[in-house]
Formats: sequence, C-alpha cells, structure tokens
Amino acid sequence: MSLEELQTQLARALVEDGDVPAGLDPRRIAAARQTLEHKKVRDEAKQKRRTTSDSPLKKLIRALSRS
Amino acid sequence: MQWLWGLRRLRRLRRLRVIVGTGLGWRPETAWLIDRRESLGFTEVIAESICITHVPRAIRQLRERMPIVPHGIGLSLGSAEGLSVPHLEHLARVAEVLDAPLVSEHVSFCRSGGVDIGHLTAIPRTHQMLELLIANVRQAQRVLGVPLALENIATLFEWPDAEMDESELLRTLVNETGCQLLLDVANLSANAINHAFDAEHYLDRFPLDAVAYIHVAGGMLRDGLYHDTHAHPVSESCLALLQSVRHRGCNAGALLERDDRFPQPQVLHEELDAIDQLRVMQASAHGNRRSA
Repeated sequence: MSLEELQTQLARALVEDGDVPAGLDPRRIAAARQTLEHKKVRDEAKQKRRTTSDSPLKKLIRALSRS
Repeated sequence: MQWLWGLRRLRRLRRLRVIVGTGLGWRPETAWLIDRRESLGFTEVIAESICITHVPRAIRQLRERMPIVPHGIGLSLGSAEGLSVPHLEHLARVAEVLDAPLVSEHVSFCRSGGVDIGHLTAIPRTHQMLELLIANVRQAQRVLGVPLALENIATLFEWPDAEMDESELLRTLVNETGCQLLLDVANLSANAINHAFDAEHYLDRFPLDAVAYIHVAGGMLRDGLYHDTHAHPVSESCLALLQSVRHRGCNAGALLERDDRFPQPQVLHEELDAIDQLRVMQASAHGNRRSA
C-alpha cells in the first residue's frame, strides 16, 4: 500500500470509522476519533455562540467595522 | 562538501526571522486583552479565518502596533498527495495583507483522498515521508513571500516502524529547506506523556537555533492520555519545559494559545506574566554571563 493510500485509510478510520491501518494502535485511534468528535461539537457551539449571542447593535457594529 | 553545507547554513541564517517578546493568540474572545496589555510583543491569527477582502478592523489596527503571524492549520504539508494550491495562495495573501514577518504551519497532514480530518494528524517518521515533506515545504516556500516556521504537533498515536525521531526529522527538514521552527512546548509535554519519552532528551537534539517562536498552551489528562485542548490552564510541566528552553539560550518569543473556556482576565494575565518572567530571567542571566 502506498503512503498516500495509508494516509487515506487513516483519515477514513478517524472520520468514517473505517479500518485502522496495520500497526497503528486501535485504542489510540479510537481516542483520537473521540477527540475529533468533541472538537467538532465544541467548534459548532463556539460558532453558534459567536453568531447568535450578539445583539442587533453588536452585529451592526461588526458589519460597519468590516466595511 | 563541507563548504556547500556551510553556504547552505549561511543562506538559511540570513533569512532567519526571530519573533521576540511575549504574545497571545488573537481570537474574538482575546481581542480586548490584546488591546489592553501594552507589554505584548506580538500576536498570531488563524490564517484560514481571515477573509482577504474583509480583514476585521481590529486586526488591521493591530498591524500598526505589533507583528502579526498568520498561523495556518489546514495546508496539510504532510499530505502525500501534495498541497492545495488555492490554500497555499491564500496563506501568501494573508501574509501580504498583514505585512507578516513569517507564516507558521504544522508538520502534519489533515486531508487525504478527499477526506478532510479536520484536525492535525501525525505523519509517519520515515525517509519516504521526509522526502515528500521536504518537497511540499519547498513548494510552499516558493509561493509564500515570507519565511515559513513549522510546528511540532501533539499526537495521541504514532505510526509504526519509525526510522527517526522527531528531532532528527525536524533537523533534516531545517537543513534541507531552510525553514524555521515553531516549538510548541505544550505539544512536546503532551507527547512526552503520551509516548513515554524524555522531553529533555528531545530538546538536547532539537535545533533550537532555528526556532522563530514558541507556543505555550494548556491541556488535560483523560484516560491516561494528555489532550492538547487549548481550553485548560497551562500546566507546570509545560512551563518547566519553557524554562528549560530558556536555559538552553533560546530567547525567541513565546505565545500563549487559548481557544475555548476563556477564563477570567486575571487568569490569562497571570499565565502571560509567568511566560514573560521566564523570558526576562533568561535575558538577565544572559546579560550577566556576557558582563562576567
């Protein structure tokens, strides 16, 4: 298997719960997958906080400051 | 061959950019502190979060006050399939717009075969991987108008059959490409726990003369593994490693990263004070050595 194929297999193992490439520790990959899921939830919550917690005035100020 | 080696090193040194002082990563949540803390020497923005045509006014104003380093998190320099040219060009444009002294990225991959992992992922430490990495770094350097500094990442797992340790990989990368390094002492501390090695021994072999600046951050221990969260207090072991780096004579700037669970302002100030103190102590110790 080429390096590119191995990287793709690992990416699938982390994102799509695919097969773990030979020689990698499946428990560590599971921990990394869990971290990725936490990060995704955290990033989504943060994005939501940033976009919904603003008052209309804050949104207007931000829009003006970008211009 | 010796003269060729020396010439390469001379060329590299001529291009070196070292960031000095203490910094804090710019996030919407930390912008106020960066505005108010006058002693800050520099900051860093996530390059992928910057829209070239709509750079926030706060960042544009900050550009006049301190160096801003664009920090890339998605170039995927360790991808065997090669780099995304639009992504690379975006990094170059961000560096240009921010008048950045350099750009930083990671020694990792985050996409392959159309799958975006969404996180910095370990690469195999093999000669084949190193050759690909060198080619990708050279390609990036041709497009970026400023020097490139590469960061060691925190990992929960390692690839099997490593042919070298990370210090050796980074040293070869520096020698072959003339790139600089962003030493993340929090990542080093995390990896020392997760992969059971001696961080001091790692530093013994690390090319500290190529360090452009340093990252400091907090994390947490869960199920026996240390997670580099950027959402928890900076650990004592992380600060101890920073102190060790200072004792070894490295005076590059150190930047605190905080991405979530933002604490009370006083807590961030105290962490920045601790980082600053180590820098000042090293500077005065160096001064004493010179005057002795």
